[in-house]
Amino acid sequence: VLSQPSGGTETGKYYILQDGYTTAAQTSMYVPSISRTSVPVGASIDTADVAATNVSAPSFTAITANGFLVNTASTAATTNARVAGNYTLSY
Amino acid sequence: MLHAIDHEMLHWQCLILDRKGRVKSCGQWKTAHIDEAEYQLLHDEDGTGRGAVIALPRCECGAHCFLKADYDLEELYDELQEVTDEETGATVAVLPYRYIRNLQAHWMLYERGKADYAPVLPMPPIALLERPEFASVKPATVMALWFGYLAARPDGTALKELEEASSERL
Repeated sequence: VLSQPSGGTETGKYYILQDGYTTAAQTSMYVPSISRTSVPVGASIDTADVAATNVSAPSFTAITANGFLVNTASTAATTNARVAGNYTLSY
Repeated sequence: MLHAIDHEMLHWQCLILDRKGRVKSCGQWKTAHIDEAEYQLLHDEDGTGRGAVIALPRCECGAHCFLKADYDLEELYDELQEVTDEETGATVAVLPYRYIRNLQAHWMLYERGKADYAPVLPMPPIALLERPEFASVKPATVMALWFGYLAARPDGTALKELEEASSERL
């Protein structure tokens, strides 16, 4: 089991694609971390790969030693709601 | 993550890395007042605040930093580090600063009524930080020992003892 040391970081990608059936429809994506047992102190996210399209800016929630949840919500009823980018977990 | 809390100002670095460890965000050092930070709790299914984060102000480069704000006693216990006194061999548990800064920011928001739930551990009393024997010790060091003591027993017995001692004083 990989366990990030103090001051370590873990990086990766996320991609959220959804049909927003209505405004404010939430979509979440759970991202398991590679590291286990170490508890992150924080995380950063960007939208460098796909700018937020018909969705709100993504946010983190439920950051644990196992991963985190990226959450976003549609800003309109649409079949084209997407956002993607990088994340960095800080330990 | 937070690098420092100076009075009511939060300091952190805008940091997104790629798989090779190269900085992809602007990498700038950021400063914001605690009132600019936002406690976010998406789903409060069990009524404990599990899942909460503190969102720092979004950087102009587009990156957004979040701090974990739902530590439980077991998580903090797992991150304790031991410090041994070379002369006596006595060992104490301390909580690393990076966790203390999160707890401190969380408390600041809670005291302002901007967080639904308080952190799992209380801040040290002001009277403790102002004791003469700690005059030459940085407050962060006192907090590292304070939180280390409270988190060293993840069953919560240290917290109960503290509450009992507080109620007896009252």
